Amino acid sequence: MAEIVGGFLLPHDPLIFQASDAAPAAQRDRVFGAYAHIRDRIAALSADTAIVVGADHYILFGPQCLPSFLIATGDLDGPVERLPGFDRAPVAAHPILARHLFDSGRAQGFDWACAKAMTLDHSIMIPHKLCIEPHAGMRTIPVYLASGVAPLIAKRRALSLGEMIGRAVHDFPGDERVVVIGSGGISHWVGMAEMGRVNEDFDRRLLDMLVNGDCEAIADLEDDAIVAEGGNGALEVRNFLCAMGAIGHGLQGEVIAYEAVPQWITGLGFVELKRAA
Amino acid sequence: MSAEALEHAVYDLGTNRERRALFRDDIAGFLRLYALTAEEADLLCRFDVRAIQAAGVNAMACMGFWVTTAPDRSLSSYIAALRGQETSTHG
Repeated sequence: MAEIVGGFLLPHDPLIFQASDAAPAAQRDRVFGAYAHIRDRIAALSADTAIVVGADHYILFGPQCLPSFLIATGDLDGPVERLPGFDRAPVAAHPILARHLFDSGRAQGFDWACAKAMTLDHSIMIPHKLCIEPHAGMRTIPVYLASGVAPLIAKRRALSLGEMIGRAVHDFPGDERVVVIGSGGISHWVGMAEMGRVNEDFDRRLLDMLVNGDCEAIADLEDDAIVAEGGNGALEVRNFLCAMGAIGHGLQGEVIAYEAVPQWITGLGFVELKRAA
Repeated sequence: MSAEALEHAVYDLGTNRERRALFRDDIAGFLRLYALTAEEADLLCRFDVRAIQAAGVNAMACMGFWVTTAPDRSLSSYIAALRGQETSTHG
């Protein structure tokens, strides 16, 4: 049977490419070093497939259709945006496992929206470029949650979706070794009057919850409080919850790095998720 | 005030060149495409992103609208407008 062998939480701040030199060199090095660490941990785990949980930023979807949660089951490419150092290129997909996740979800009351082909945005493409693509043959399954554009997916629904993904991977008749990546910043105010603020105190508190596997405490956070303390970007905790749900009970985490970078308008946290021994 | 109609117009202006051209060249024609109240249309034409956001329009759509459509498309002027430090009018 296929197996989830690890999980990671990481940011997808496009400014690390668009304004790379704006941040102090030492912080820039630590941020890119954290991505490299995850890349190497994925290799150490002998993973061959990544399920990446990202967020639309009103780039992929418009007001005519806003899926609550979506899986891409066919051809992939990206990024949809222009990012320095990125050429739009095909992304290796895993359509059979993706379709299995889709079917399993539908059978268990999770009515996925489905993209039969998709051009991915930076929330998937940044972790893909820095952590997945370097591994020859590794395949990506994108999952998008409504964590940036209202109506938002309920946090407990995001967690439950992740738990379903975990069960479905376990039931898949293959020998895939899967990592699950929750892609999201911590505090950042995107397009809001506070843009540029980073709330390290909020970020550290959230990191504590993440490393303790305290999904219930995160799910209990009120969205208004999240926006007040962490900005609209911190609503992406839904992506973290989904990844944590897929890892399952007995979850523990380890902070790889945390950098508060106002020049990149974000508190950037990197966590490895592990099951308790 | 209906945030949906306002967000629809804001989103289109941020993502659709044809709609931006229409907004610039034929504002009445543009406004006919959306179920906006007179007050909402006025907010849009004055690029009052502070009030637009307060009405419930998504902040990312709002930012996209400004940096593609406003007379001064800089992020600094956008932040200033959100903070009530500066206003801009449709040119």
